[in-house]
Amino acid sequence: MQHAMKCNTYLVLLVCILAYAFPAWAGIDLTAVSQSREIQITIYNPADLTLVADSRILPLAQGMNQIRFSWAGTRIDPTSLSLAVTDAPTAVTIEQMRFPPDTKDLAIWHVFAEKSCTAEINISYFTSGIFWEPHYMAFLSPDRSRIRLTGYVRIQNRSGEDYDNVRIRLVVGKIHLLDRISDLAQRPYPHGRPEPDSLDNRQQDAFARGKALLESAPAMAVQKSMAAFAPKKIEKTGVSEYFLYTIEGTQTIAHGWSSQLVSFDAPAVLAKTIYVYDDLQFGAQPVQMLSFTNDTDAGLGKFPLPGGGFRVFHKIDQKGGMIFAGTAETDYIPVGKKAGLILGPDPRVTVAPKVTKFAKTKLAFDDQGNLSGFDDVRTMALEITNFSDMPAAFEITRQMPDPDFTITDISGQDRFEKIDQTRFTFFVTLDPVTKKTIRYTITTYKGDRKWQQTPVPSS
Amino acid sequence: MAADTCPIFMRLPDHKGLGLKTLMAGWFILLMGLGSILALPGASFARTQLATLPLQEQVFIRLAGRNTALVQEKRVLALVAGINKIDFSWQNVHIDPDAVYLDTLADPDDIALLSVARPPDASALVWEIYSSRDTDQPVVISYLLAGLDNLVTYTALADDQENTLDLDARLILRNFSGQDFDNTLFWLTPDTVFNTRLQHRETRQIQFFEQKDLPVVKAYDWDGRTMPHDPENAPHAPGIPTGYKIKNTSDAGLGTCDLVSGKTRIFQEDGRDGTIFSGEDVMPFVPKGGTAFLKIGNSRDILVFKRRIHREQTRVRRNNKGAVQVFDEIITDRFILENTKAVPVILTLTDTISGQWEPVNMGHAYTLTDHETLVFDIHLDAKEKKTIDLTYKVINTFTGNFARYNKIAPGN
Repeated sequence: MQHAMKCNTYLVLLVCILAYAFPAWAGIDLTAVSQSREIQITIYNPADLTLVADSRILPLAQGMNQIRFSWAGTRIDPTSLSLAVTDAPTAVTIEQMRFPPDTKDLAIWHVFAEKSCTAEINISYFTSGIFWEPHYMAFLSPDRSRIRLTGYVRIQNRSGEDYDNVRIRLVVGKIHLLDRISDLAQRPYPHGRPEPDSLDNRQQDAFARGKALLESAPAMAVQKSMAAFAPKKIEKTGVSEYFLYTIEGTQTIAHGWSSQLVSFDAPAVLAKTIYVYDDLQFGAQPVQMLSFTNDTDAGLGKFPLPGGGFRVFHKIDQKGGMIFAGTAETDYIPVGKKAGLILGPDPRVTVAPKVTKFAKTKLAFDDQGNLSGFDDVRTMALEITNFSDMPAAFEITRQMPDPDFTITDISGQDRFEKIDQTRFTFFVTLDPVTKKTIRYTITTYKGDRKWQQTPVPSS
Repeated sequence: MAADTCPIFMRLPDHKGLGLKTLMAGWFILLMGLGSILALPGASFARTQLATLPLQEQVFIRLAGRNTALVQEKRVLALVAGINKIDFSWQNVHIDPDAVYLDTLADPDDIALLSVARPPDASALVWEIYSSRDTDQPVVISYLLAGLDNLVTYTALADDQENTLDLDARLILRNFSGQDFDNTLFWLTPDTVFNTRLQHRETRQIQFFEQKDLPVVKAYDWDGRTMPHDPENAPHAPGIPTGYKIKNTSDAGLGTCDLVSGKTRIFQEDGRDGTIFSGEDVMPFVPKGGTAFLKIGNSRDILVFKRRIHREQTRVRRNNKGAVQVFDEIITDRFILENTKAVPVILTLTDTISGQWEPVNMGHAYTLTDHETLVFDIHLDAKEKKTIDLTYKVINTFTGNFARYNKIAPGN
């Protein structure tokens, strides 16, 4: 495999017959540019972190060899540079690595080989500037019972380095980092210096790097094997607390480009459109929520879905006609869990809560004759309208300011559920172009009445 | 569609050995001078044409009433067997790149979208499409375009007796998207689809609905929460809001579709073959089956006075020191209504009685919209003056710390 011409990292083998073999450095200098055998990049989200594993074949001379690695114009974290000998026919020892004082963005490994040989090595490092993010498109069926859900991963390369024909893995999960890789990549000295840098130096250095990056921006590089005639598959596996997406085959991502691949395509995911009314959370209008569960029954459930943006369209015919239903963001959706996409209000459905009767009862007085408590009794009506041309399912959540209440005489709902000590939800479905009223009575205990009985919430 | 305002399609040359920068240079040249390059016959790009600009067969624009419209373009792509690179780029328009969708309308074994790439610093997508054979493939490309939206305005003409309205609805298309549209189908609702041309920076008004002789009710709405209770002594008595109540129902001549919110200018026949401008209001969104009130102005010919004429405390309870703790009140409010017009009117009177109360002797039928809001529909003959007394009892009025519980706080 070949690195693209615009590659900014270079690996140079400098075989030096060192002092104990020959009395002077002057002897034979052999320099060769090594070619990558395989590069694998593992891109994290949301951290700006990519692990690059670069496998190469190196010819080594007997004695001490210098392997030079430079990365000018990239966003590589020099503190993460690592070289490992993965296969060699003789003993090969990595003695040390140094960053020369007068040359920026250069590391030199000193590798001792007992005999001349060809060794397989692996160079790994962190870089910043490569990002991936998921996003989704959902196409709601005309009857809104199913969605075609297509997940995409978008990989964006702003690292300053072209990655040509590399294997790509994407990691879903939050990783703990002490330093930002982008900060480490911009330090003037790989591991810093004892005294702090002046701000001016850092700014100048950052400016110089930015300019170099701009000047080095390559032209586009979208090339593809003619043999690959199908979209690349993305294999998903769980690793510890992370989920790993491995993209089939190799992929080229030139600096500045982004690439979008289909992560999965679920053609008929069971979905439900409900109208959620919760005035404290969404205001006075019910909002349309498209929900689905990430499980096998629904047509998903093989892997968690990373959080991302959804664009939702409603198909209205079989000829590709559709209308834009809205956008929504979701957090990480574990397997088996439900996701709800809030698509905004629909003026054709309304929920209006009203107090239809108000009374103060069971007045309590202390031994001095002072009013010390009473029951606040309210008869409530939730007037619900569905002027749309489809059945509408509602989830109406109400919240009381304090927990000392009972709810009784509930009617008109399909189901009632108490969520916690102050919140409760009514579930009801309305036919097209109909109205319905849910009624209930709330009794709230004020003052000493709180202590004169134990409220037992009904269910 | 203007060539300089995109979206622009082209097939990128699928030519081995063509350098990346060469491709980019070619892309710009093609963009700027497509005609001249196409004029070079037999260029060295083998079995793919140098560039193809697939013609739009049909363009649908689905309007959502917001700043973004969903554009759906049906085009025919000339695909060759193998991998085709199709460049979808745009300039001077704002398209959400994450909401661009290519539907090949084909069996995935024949034609498959392999990948999508976005070039650096360019508003473009490059689709990589595999085709099993040379074919002209219809596709639908959907994208969200900003700067294109619609308004609705209404014009209503009332007859001189104010019993009916002629309602005329106009759709205002505003295109500031940067893109011209020729022969485009605009879709407002399933029942409202029309074909027109719309250029960039063009605003076009189209009549999409007209209904004659809609029955309406002229209404006068007095609301005690906002209107002065003694209008003759109020410094700037505004008059009673008046207008037309309209129903979006089939028996009222409508009811076939939702009425979209929009500015409504109302005129009235003056009885002399002319019209006068009565006023304007915003028609709210009126779903099928819903009602709306269109205000045309304020009437000073209907007068409403509200006076409290009696208040009596009963059932007073005191503590051991004689301080009042709880009491009830019997209250009588008097409404004096006067129609100075020479025609009868229907006055809708809305008032509130806060707290816990019960009626004692209410002088007119009413409906309760909630526990404290009473609505009276009152007929007043020409030049009629009417008095209505409402007597009610407010129960369990607290004093001291508990006084805050006498009324339900707004929003509680």
